[in-house]
Amino acid sequence: MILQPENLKYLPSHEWVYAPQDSSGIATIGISAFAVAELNDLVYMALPKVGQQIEAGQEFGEVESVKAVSPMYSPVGGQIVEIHDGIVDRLETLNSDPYVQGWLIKVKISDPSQLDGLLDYAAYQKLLAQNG
Amino acid sequence: MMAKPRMVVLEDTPRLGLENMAIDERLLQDVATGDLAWLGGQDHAQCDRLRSWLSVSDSPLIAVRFYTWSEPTFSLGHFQRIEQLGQAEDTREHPSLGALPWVQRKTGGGAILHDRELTYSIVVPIGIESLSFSKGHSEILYRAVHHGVVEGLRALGLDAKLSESCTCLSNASKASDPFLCFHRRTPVDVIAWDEQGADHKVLGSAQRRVKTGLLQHGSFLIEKSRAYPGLLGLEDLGGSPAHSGGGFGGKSDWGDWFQECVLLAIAGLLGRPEDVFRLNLRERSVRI
Repeated sequence: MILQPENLKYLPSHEWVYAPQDSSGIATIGISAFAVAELNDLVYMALPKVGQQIEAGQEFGEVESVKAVSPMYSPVGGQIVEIHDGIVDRLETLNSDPYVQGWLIKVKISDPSQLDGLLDYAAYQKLLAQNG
Repeated sequence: MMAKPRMVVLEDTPRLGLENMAIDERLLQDVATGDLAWLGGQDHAQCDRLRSWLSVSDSPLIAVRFYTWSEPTFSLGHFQRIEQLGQAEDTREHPSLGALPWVQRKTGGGAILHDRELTYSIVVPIGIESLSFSKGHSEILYRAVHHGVVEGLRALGLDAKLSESCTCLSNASKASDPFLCFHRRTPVDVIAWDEQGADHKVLGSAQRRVKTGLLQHGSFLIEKSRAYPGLLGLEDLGGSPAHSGGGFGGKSDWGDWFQECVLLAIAGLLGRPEDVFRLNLRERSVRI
């Protein structure tokens, strides 16, 4: 499986998670192209520290677009094992590639069954259409 | 179909910065559950009246607060740091500004010097149908309030409009961002012109989104501050609320005039609220 929008799971608040079915149990997390487009002009982002424990649905960071500060929520719980180094100084990367180059954090998932409660691509697209 | 919202309108006394921010944060925390009885403070009769009003309906609540500051104070945008005051091009030549007290806002944007200005906050719970809730700002709320003020200023005979231009800086160049909000431009800022044809930003707002709702702060400049006279307000541009002559509420006070503009704008966006509870906090000790 490769990291592309169709293979991701989503929160209704527009965070995505990529969880390959391998033994690592490490999930990659970011925000969707829709969210990036809606945020419009990203100016600041704050991300957590490596080693921090996070629960599914918990806020893991904040992003400021033009004058609006919004939280970002983790689709899964576990330990944060990696932060995308330097991404907060290159937020334009999220505009060009919010999925591969624009990932934000990696989490060692505590309970893989959490993934079952997330939206798949079709359900997420349906949500966007309903709200659009 | 969601019920029409009810509105709590708070007219507050001048307060210190930390207290002003704490009240807005508490409003944001509690507006979704409607648990706002604390606004009654130590006045038991008022608390009972408010509690009774809150209990008669499950309609969503909107809180709108109008306030000033008891001393000139900077409020910094959520990601700003006070050290930037001495580094930014617009403030580094004014070292005396460093002596002013400051607080950090939960909302984004640049720093505001709260001196000869009026501040408002609007707190809206998630689920209000007219507002888009996902990521980023709710431009519809931002634009509605600012458009309402533009209409009001025009009724006073002032040349005002939404900026429709932006100094929004990309991440790469944010180091050169002006420190002060009123030196920045976003498309929805309210600008007015002086007699020489120069434009001045007179109203700016910013937002904070959480899981349960949204907080919008804004600052409306009445006149220039002695601490930083480079930013002009409405009085400096020849504006006066008395010029409305009754045509726009006939207000003789900027505070009353501004409240009417903002409340009319919210009513225009969300429909006239089903019910409004007005609370004057001026003589009330609120336990935050």
